[in-house]
Amino acid sequence: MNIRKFQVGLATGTFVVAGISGVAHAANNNAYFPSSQAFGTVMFEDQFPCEADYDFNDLVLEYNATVTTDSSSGDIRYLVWNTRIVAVGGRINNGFGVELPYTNSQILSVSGATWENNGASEKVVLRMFENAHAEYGADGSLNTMAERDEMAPVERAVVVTFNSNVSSLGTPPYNPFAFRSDSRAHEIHLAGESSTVNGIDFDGVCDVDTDYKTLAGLPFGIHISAQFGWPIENARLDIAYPELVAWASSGGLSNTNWNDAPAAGQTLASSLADMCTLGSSSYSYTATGISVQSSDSTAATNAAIAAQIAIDFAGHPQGTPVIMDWRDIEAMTASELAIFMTTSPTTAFVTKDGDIDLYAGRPYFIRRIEGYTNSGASIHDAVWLDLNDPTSVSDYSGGSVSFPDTTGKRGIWLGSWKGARPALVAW
Amino acid sequence: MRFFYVWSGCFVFLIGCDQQPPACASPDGCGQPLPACTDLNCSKWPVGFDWQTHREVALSLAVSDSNGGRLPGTRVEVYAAYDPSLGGTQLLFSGQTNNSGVLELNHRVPKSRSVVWVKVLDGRADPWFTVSVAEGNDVAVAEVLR
Repeated sequence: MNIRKFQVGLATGTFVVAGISGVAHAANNNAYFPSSQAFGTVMFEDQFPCEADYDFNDLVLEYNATVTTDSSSGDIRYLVWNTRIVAVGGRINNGFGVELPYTNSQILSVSGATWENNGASEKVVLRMFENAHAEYGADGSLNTMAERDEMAPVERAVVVTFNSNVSSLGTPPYNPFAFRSDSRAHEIHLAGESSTVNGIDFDGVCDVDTDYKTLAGLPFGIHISAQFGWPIENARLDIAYPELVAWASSGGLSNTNWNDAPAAGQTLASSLADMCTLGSSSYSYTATGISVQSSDSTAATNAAIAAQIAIDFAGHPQGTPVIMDWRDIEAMTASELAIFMTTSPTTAFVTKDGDIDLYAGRPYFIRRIEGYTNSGASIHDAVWLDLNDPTSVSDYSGGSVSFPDTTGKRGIWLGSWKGARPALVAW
Repeated sequence: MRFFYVWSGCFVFLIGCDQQPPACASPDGCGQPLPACTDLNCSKWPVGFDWQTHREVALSLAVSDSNGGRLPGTRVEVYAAYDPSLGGTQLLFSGQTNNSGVLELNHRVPKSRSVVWVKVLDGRADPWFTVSVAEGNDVAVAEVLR
């Protein structure tokens, strides 16, 4: 019997999953962009192909990406991309996508985004959302006016799983782009980038010269490998960041920290994004199982774990794992959840360690796991829900949680800490 | 004589301006100082300026023992910065060397950054090393002796 260990919650925790047969994989290497606990920023001017107010707040996104490669071969195994929309200025409806430097034939699967597969030899294009306003459920300028209430960021977690023998290429954010929700081909890219196979060429149209620059060389999109306060409505980027012009005029040699020096009152930043801050975490995969160490298990961590599990358990007798966002799970009724999570609504799949009979015959769903010790001696707080009784929510403060066998088990919930959003892996 | 005027006119035209392409997309093209400009409407920047604050670097890090033998499977972390009280900050990479004892990594660093910090997790003392990623060193090759 193989023992697979999940450590979710505190770094010393253990979440034991036993009895699942699997194939040993080599250890993984993880590269984090811009770093493990930070977000980069991509922002666009959506009047493209014509110049506009240059406040670059028409669509502002933050991203954090993890590229996992096989430590021996260097081949890429998966990409976990977390995006959150933090501001939408103006009224034009825009979507967001990324072109990867890989061909469609090199991809095994994509979750959390629409995969535009335009042929085996074409580059991968992922549409992460179609309409930023729709994602917020609101119109007009969102989070670009200081006098208006701030709206919480809208998040997306995307996991790309690669086929074997694919060398890692490039670095995130690769070729990100905005596009008009009512005109997919109308793409806006960073300066120097090219449109995707589904975009159209605007060179020479209105104010565009070539390569998504104006005749004067100005960009329509900006990428900063850090969180970045975006200009308020109608505040041009050079007004919001007075050192920008000196930086650009020097060819990027002087005033290199221009993005850290905003003018007073000219920019906004997301205070609500703090609730989504990524935690320090790492995980590894060995012949004895997956080991996840996290002081703050968050969407990124969970997505990474989910991707690992998807790889590991592809072809598992119980079927292909399904990765779902916690919000989608919460939207289910208890009976829907029970059916989803169990092969039979009356079959237990989560029990206390060494005490399986106590809950046998009743499906339980762990809602929160906040910490463990390696010895399994204590759990800081685990709350689970009896799916047969949605009003029954219990706190659990001792022992560890285990899956003694796979009988009837259809799901592993990956815990969160401090309100970050978890993902769910289910069979 | 007419032939002479035509050719001499062309010669004057050719030497009148710097024959090299202007370093900047300046409208005069002849290197005349431009008036001070502080906004995007009048400022100029080098032709081909990419508006990127970061650049890609390829890091190749070999970990070797005192005899020069490479150490495969050595756990390594790479950080953007180091704080004496906190250790490494801004984790860029965690993983291990390959079967040849080498770690290959592509990453982005701020254009102003000159080093990244490497931590070798082999349980020995003094695990911290710096690797130069200064401008012009976009392929950074380094060896760590343990």
